[in-house]
Amino acid sequence: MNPKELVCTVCPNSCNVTVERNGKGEAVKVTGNRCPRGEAFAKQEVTCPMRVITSTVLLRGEDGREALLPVRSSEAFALSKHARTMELLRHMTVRAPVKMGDIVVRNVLDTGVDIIASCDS
Amino acid sequence: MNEFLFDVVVIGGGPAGMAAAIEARKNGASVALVERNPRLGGILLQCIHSGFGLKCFKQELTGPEYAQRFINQLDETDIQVFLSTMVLQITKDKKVVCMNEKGISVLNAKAVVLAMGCRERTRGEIKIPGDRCAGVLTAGLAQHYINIDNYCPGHKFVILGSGDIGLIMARRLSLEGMTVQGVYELMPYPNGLTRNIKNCLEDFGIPLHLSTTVTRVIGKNGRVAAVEVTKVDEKLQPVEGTSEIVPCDTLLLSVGLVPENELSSGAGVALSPRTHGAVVNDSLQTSVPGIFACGNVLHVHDLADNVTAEAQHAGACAAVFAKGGSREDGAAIAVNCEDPIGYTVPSTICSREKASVLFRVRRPVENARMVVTSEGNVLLQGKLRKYIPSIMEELVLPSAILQKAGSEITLQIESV
Repeated sequence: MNPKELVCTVCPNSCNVTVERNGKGEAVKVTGNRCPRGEAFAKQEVTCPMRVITSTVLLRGEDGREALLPVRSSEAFALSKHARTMELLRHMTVRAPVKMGDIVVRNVLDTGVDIIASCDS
Repeated sequence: MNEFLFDVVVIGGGPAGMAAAIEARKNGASVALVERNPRLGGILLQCIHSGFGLKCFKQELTGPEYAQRFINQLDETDIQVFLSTMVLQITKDKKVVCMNEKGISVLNAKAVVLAMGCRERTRGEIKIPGDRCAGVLTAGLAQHYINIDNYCPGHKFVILGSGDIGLIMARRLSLEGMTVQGVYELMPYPNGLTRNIKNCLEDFGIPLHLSTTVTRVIGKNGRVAAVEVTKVDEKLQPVEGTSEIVPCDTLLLSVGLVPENELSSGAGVALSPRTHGAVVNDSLQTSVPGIFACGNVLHVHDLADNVTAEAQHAGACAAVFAKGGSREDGAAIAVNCEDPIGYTVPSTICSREKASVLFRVRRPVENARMVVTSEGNVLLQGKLRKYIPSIMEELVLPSAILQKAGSEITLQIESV
């Protein structure tokens, strides 16, 4: 398989990384990275890209008023599951008060990752 | 009218203001923080995406999380926070006149820190011809509508400008089920961070068209119906015969930010024509003694973490000034720069201890090195590397170099 060029997004250094792959598309050699985190990122990126998802859910205040609560996934998870996660979050309402880090959805789509609140409300 | 007295008054409760206030308090000053919105956090509150905190907290946080950490730190101090309070005027003798529900107050300050942030450039500033219809808005405004107000500002978008806010909105719109036809950039290179090109456009299959701009807005029944896009030549002039009509109902503009300095000007603070922010020395002190500036009101940053670091320095220097001290232990060294460096902050250095100089290049340069000279002598030469306009650079000048400098130093980027 042709080598794949990609930009590492682990830190602001944004290294240009080249990944040589075997027939199954798996990484066999990573070059251009300046740290071991870049190698791990590149290997993951060519097989199953992982991202943190951020969005909002509806928040019903103690006074009954509606607002939006920013949420995030606790960790990066498969990008391929983000569209379904958005569908889930779109129909959710949580009740105030909420603290930063409170779990809004536990183990979303069986990924082992939680959706958590991004701030107090 | 209520009157108060503080060592340091900080204007603006975003990342810059919060960090400056906390640091001034740590340095022993009595501190007030004035914010016009009912909540602290500034623009961070609408930046729900992650990518904040990598330098400051060594972990990747969202905007609201980054803000919440500073709000929590502030809660543990006796800093007096004035929310829903608009500053109307700052005088030369550092009276901060502000207004809220209780009426007009005057905060008498020994030192003031300006941290009001910046504004987005609008259609009027880039003069896009065509119909004056609804559906043309700045990317940050759309971000506020979607992430805070729960409004849907359109269905089919074209984004002009590849600045970070535009890229982040491209992803946000796609996740929310809207269509993004493409991102168009006048320059031959992208203006946002590489990580955003990858995570916001490539992940969602959104095309980025370089050297292309919107040349006409086409409206129908009072709403955008399409835009005309045209390729541009090396002189950024539209090339005849390359126009295309792209149907859309909303045009988002991500075409730059301008520091918001009306209050600063009113106080007599001199502004730089290059940054549109205050002219400052290495203590981040403006031309008015005791008035300091930091964050996006000083010059536009690309990372909130850099804003925090700069604001901490401004807060500490303001506290020292309020107590009658000074970090300025030498004659001012003027900091000059040559093309392709667009500007430097600060523009003078008064300390001989160590100084950090922030700068940005005007266009990408490959294989180039930083050279610092003073009155014809080379003081410092950097390693060969590339410089790009979307990344602000920091040059730290150690004491040994500052001692050798004459009345000026010049920063140059030499291509090899």
